[in-house]
Amino acid sequence: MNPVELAFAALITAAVGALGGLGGAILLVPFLVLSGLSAREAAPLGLISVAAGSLAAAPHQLRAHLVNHRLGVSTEIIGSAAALIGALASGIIGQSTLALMLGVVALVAAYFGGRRKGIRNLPDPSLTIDDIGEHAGSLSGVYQLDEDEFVRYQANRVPVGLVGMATAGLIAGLSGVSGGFIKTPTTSEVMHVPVKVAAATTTFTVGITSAVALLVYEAQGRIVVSDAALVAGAALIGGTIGARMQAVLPPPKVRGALSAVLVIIGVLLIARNL
Amino acid sequence: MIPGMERLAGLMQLALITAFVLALGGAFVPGTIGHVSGVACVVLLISAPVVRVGWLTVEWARTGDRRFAAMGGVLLGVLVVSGLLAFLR
Repeated sequence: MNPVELAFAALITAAVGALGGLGGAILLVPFLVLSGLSAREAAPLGLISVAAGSLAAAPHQLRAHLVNHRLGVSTEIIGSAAALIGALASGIIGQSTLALMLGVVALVAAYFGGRRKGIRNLPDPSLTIDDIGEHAGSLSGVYQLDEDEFVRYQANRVPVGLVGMATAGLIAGLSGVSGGFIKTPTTSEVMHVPVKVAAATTTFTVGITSAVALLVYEAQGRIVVSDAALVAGAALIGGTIGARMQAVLPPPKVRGALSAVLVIIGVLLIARNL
Repeated sequence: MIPGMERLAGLMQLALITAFVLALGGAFVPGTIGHVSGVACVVLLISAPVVRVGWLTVEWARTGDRRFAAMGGVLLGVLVVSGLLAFLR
């Protein structure tokens, strides 16, 4: 794959991934593997894309009080530890096994992306704009749903949620996809945090997970600096475009289309490596 | 907005712009300068979330949210151990 194609792939996947709320790496890594790159070479580029996407979203999400940092930090302890184990293990796992695993991951992502629900928590009329943000000393908070609508939430079933975070971290370390496709549904469907807050908190935590795995990849000599810089630049632009397009296109429809693409990618990867 | 969080958002904005400039340098500038720029971009992408966790930990400790300040400390510990394990292995 030449540099122009790599930059184009990183830009498009980051934009579409941000638009659908799944992250760009879940498209980029399988695409790179299908284009001839080995799974071992594609994984660091996927995590560079994840780290760039996380950084691109940070200023807006911080100002909008969308991230529950206390929840993110609490759950990321186990997520990062699992990512470390996954990244260390990825150096000793064979190419076809990694590619096969990637195919299964793409199919699982398609399933979760397609079935994600809309609004769970309803607005509370007693809340005002002064109430938005996370609450000190607890895993709760208030977020702005619409101009005059505010929603109260509280994270539940944290121990079960931690299992999902550990799984996501392990997959991120092994394969180079962000694990956000597991984290966001886990936070939303299992822990009952509103989707918007869950997605923003996941965007924060996948940046930490990718930092851990990238440290290991760097120590293993697997990061090609020029390719990484190209992917980072393209992902920063793509992620910003995708986040802005969220206001124009309905995310559920985009996620449906993304799921269909992921099914095709997953089946191709599995068929080629069986 | 909490003043500390506004400062953190500003810092992340600065990191974002710097990372983009460094990425362009790493991708398009030939030779040593391009390589150094690319390495700096990767280092910035890795360190930005770590700085964010560190900032939050200090902010929570300062405002008396000890339980979550401790959580932040543990996460920073995991990150440090990860770095040590990765490079000493």
